[in-house]
Parts: sequence; structure tokens; C-alpha cells
Amino acid sequence: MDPASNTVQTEPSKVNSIVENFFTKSMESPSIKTGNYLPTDPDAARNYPWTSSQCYDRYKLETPVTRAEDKHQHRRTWLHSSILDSCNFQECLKSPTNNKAPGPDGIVNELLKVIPLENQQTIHKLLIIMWATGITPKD
Amino acid sequence: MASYRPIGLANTLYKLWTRLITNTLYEHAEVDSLLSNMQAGFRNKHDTFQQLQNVLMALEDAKLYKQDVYALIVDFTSAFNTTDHDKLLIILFDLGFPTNAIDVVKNLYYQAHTRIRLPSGCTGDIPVERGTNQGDTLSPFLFLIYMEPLLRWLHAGNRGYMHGQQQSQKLH
Repeated sequence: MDPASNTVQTEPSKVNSIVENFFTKSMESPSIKTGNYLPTDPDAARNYPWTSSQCYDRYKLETPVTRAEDKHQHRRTWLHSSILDSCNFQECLKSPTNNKAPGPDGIVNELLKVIPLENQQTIHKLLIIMWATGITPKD
Repeated sequence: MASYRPIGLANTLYKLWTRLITNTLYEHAEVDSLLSNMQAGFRNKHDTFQQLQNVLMALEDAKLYKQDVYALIVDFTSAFNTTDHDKLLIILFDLGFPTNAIDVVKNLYYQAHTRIRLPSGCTGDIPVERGTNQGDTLSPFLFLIYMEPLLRWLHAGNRGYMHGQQQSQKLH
């Protein structure tokens, strides 16, 4: 199949030349001399975000969240989903290091890792309630 | 006596709770890019080598372009012990953290008490009015939040050392 003339060629010598033409054409386009892949305006490449006027004022403690809030585009997330995620909770369960002195209640860190799954889920529910109410019980 | 320091012992459930809060807040801060890029302490995927390389590059650049460069090295003594809770909560709000998360942090330190364990037994409750818990996983994060205004103030107004200033003056 010749892409130039849209006809079918079966003669081997012509097929070779067609293939060669096709590849030389396809290799021509990204050549550096034609400059297709280089920026035409060298100063345009220097528009870094920290030089543009959209860079936020650092005195004001502005962040992407507060900027979106000022434009009434976005409300603050409540982060409920990452607390509810049992995968995050399992990571937290496994993270404390062993061989540490226990607190006032005398429960060591090793105990958290060996309690059964139902009790883990109970603790997770307790932590979800603590997150929802925002209250950390004393002792 | 100066080389001694107290260790904080907390209940295991309390540790679990603060660990969960810490992971959640870190994730939120990194996803919404609430922390400055130049802060590399206590963060994932940031290390000392990057910061050292920045310093070395600034020094080499200054030598190349014959400019002056000054370095200020500060050691924050008792950094965790002197953070003010009210200022911390205000900064948390200004940075765009969710209000319920701020409530949780506020209640963690609201009317907090500590006891000192002595060989003769425990002392009574001592109220904690400033500082973060020693050895708590949330403390480094809160210290990062507390440092954030200083970092932004240092970088505001394009002060500081500019790399290759002679070149950039030609361009602009």
C-alpha cells in the first residue's frame, strides 16, 4: 500500500523505496533545524509560576485552599473519609514501636497489635466518635 | 542536669488517636500543598541532602558570579516546649485546615494535665499551658505549622540570594 498514491504495490523493489520514503518523511519532522519542537519565543519559556503575578502573597499565609475560599469556589473539606478509612486505621495500629514504657494505664504497645478484629473495629468506632465530636476524653 | 530530659509517657489509645490525626493532617497538607516547599523537616520525600545541595549551589553560584552570600544558622532551643496554643490554632485556620480538625487539636490541649512520676510516687495534676507533648507524633507537625509564617516572611518580597543575578538582570 503506497500512502502517496493510494495504490497497492506488489513489486519488491518498489515496496522497498516506498518504505524508505515513508520513514525518511516521518523522521524529518522532529529535526532540530526545522524547529518544530523548540519554543519560538525564548522568553516565553521563562514564565515560571513564582515570577508570574498569580503567585500568592506570602505575608498573608495564603494557600490554594484559602484562595479558592475567597472566590467562593470551594468549601473546606471535613476529612471524614480518611478517618473512616479502616485501611488508615490499620496502618496506625501497626505503627507504634515495641519495647516502650507504658503510660499511666499500663497498656503496652504490643497489646494493640494482638487484639482481635472485633475489638479493633470497636476502637475505630470510638475514634470516629471522637473525631465527629472533636472531644478527647480526659484519662 | 542539662543533658537530662524528661520522657513523656502517654496512654496507648492516646498514641493511636494522635497517630490517626497526624496521618490525616499530613495527607491533607501535602495534597493541598499547604506547607512551603522550602520546609524539609519532618516530611515525607524531603531530606537533608536536598537542602545541603541548595546551600552548596548557592555558595558555588556566589563564587562564580563574585557575589556576597550570607548564611544564618539557628538552633531552636526547646522548640516544642514553647509553642503557644492560641497562635497555633490561628495559624492552622489561616492555612486553610478544616475547622473540625482544628477543634480536635484544640481539645487535645484544652485543660491538659501532666504528672511527674517520682520514686516516691506520682505528683498531682500539673496544668500544661504551652508547648506540645514530648514524644507525640503530632508535635512535629504542629511545629511545622508554627514555623510556617516565619518561612513565608523570609521568602516574601524576593529577598534573599538570587542565583545567577548577572544573567537575570540582562534578561529582564
